Amino acid sequence: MTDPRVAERYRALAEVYGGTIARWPAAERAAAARWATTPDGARALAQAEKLDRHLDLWSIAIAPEAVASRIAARAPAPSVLMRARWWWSGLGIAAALAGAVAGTAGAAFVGAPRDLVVEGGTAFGELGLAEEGS
Amino acid sequence: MARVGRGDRAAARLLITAKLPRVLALATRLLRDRGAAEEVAQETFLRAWRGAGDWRTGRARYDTWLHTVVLNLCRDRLRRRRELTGEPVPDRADPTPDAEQTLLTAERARRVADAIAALPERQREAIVLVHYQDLSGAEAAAALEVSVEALESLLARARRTLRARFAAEQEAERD
Repeated sequence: MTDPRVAERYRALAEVYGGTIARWPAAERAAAARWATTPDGARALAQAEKLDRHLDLWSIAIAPEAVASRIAARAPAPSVLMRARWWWSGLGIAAALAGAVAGTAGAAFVGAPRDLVVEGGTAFGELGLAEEGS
Repeated sequence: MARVGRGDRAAARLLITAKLPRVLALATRLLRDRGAAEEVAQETFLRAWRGAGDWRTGRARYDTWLHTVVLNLCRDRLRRRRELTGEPVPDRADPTPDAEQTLLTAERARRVADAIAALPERQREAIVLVHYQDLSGAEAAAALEVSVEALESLLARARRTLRARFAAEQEAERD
């Protein structure tokens, strides 16, 4: 049997966050899930869920592709330092590859740094992006 | 973010892929105008690019920061719109309905959108952030720059108003 004051708190949370406990504050979820199995809890959550479903009727379609390319075009340009770093790292790889091929005459030096500044990604595939601060 | 600041285009593209849909969705719901929402999205990322090199781990979550920027940009537009036309929200059917919706579903969606648009600004923002953007209470409070208690009060009032409005609409339909 849930403490009446606790039940009151959970009814209030259902009024605030709706009928899906996964959306409630993390610290409340475990106990709220137990309360949800009581008749009072089930009733309160069902009531809140009615409104949630009504809100869900408003769906929107977004098409990010066009604006995505405009945004990407204005992203910071690679710095001189970055271009030089890629050029050197590319040079190291090219030299290693050249050295691994027995019998070839000399290393196949890469051309100008431009060859290794790949717009679609790095020369070694896409970088993983670890979001800082998240 | 540091890589974006150094001009890593791949990192920038990853960030766009990850965040743009949510930024666009938020702006679209608040402004109900696809063109304006795209402009807000562009401006949001422009600010992200400008600050990328200075971003520090341990500051607010990046997602929360993005939401705050979008909110502020939308508020500015809505304020200007109100000053020009007297109406903060376009007085027309939502221009971005899902293409597969039937007319009836589209009409119901429009009524929900209208009801949310009629809420006081902070309540509207709170509902959009928590219900549609799926932010937690703490994240939404941070984006709105209010306490969690204040956010919960906004949500409670908004939901109460919406429930009453929808009930009245359903009652009117039955008559």
